[in-house]
Amino acid sequence: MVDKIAATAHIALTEDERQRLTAEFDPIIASLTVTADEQLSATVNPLPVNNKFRADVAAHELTNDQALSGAPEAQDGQFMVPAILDGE
Amino acid sequence: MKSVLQNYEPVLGFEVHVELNTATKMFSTATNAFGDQPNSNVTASDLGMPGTLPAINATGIEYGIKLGLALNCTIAPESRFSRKQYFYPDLGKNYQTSQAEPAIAYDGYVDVELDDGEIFRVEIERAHLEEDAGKLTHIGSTGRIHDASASLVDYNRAGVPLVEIVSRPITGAGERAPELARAYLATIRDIVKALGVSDARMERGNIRCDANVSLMPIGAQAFGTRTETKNVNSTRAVAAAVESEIIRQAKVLDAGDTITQETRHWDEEARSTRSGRPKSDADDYRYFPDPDLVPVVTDEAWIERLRAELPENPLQRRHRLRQQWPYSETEFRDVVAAGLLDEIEATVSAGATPEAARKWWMGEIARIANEKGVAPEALGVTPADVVELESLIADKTINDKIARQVVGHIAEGEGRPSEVVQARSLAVVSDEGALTTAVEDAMAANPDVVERIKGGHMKAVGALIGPVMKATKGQADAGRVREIILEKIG
Repeated sequence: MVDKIAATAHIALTEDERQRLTAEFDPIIASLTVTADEQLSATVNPLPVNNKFRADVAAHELTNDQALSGAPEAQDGQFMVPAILDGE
Repeated sequence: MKSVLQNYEPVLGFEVHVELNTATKMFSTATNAFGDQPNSNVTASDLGMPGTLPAINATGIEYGIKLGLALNCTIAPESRFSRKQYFYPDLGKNYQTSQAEPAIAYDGYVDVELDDGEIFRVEIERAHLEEDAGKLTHIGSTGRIHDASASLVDYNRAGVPLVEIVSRPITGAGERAPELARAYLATIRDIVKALGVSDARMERGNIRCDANVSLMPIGAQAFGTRTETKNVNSTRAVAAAVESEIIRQAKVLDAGDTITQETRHWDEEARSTRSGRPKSDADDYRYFPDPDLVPVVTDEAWIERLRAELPENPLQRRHRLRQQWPYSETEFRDVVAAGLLDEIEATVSAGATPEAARKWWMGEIARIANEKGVAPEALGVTPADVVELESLIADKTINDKIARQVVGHIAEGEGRPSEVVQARSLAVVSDEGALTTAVEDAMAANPDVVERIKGGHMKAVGALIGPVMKATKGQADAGRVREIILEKIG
């Protein structure tokens, strides 16, 4: 379980971390299993509210300067990030 | 192609992404527009800023339902949005807001017309709403950045509403699989265009198609391993990609090898697909319902109101107009290919004959538009203008040649046809005295022609009409000129 979560999150674990996290995860997984056994439906939102829509009107837009103000690196009005070429 | 299909049955599947043309994004109030300054159509929410919340665009939902209805789908009584997690910087939130089961629309079909008129029904599994991702530009080898390569991110497109239309596996197309692929994509384009829910400009990526292809031995029950060719963005490319992939896979299978399940990319220049990354069903996007967005619940009254707003189905409309207009097969196909059905239908409704409407739109208007590099409908000539031109010709105010010049002047923004005719004094010369003088001048200048006409060579009359038209700057009624010549000689 820990290995799968680490792989999904793209995190490399040392053997020590792996063992410590496995010990911490086990009781959490065990309590979730109990809940699953009771066949409860998942609660996404506790409020009985549907169809909260907004009108299709522009508002609250940032300027290019504002948008980039928190960017560690930027170029040509765009965010600059390490290249990830093998994704989709 | 034919020979490889003696042993294999191709199985196709399409995922078509349609960008909706709402004013704002699906979950934020940022403007939905193409070609603006990078990172100017963004809110804090589009950048994934902590503490921001999404809000569902009502128009986006209605466009999704309308598209679902046009695809003969069931509209989900209740659907909701989920988060699809993946590692890529094209969405600031680290997840794409999409729909897991159920989609807003599912279990539909679309009838696709092949080149010979045969109808092929493609079943639609689902059409779900989601958001587009931002645009990445990879740099690094350009020298603009030292050492490391990097990507530039523009989030203007991040959050633009998309409907993803997923077909069920399509069998039975055989050697017509490439033709079906092209016709299917064209059908989806025509439908979203008619609905007005998308600008439907494929060259801008408003419609993007992923094509799944697999082969199974003829007579087999189980589908073969499939590949998915991403982002094939024209109707011609999707046909070529499907054909290229069928041939490639058949070669692999004939050699006794197996197909790798993978994502492939269409290479327009090489006219073939090339391998992308391996894809496994184990890709774990960890979908879970977005707790920030409440369910979308539809009722019959809402759905029926939207259904009543649907335009005529494009395929049925084509068949109706094909019956109504006296065009030949080729003429009608050319009109469809030119994308001028709307204009011609509007011109006919405004009072022109179908023949006259076709003559103008496919003739002079298309020619001038082509010269200017714009679409005929964007030239500034309206259906009412065409009707007015025709009536000006019918009452002999102008002749055909002058009418063509008038079209050019309308395109230059000089006003409606009668305004152009008046402002430029283009009306036919109906002053009998002026015409008679011009005829006499022409006869005096061409005595040999006059002799030939007297000798019975009636075709020679044309040689006198020419100089008269020239003298009147083309504004004489050629029929009347002919009559005057014959009266003089006769």
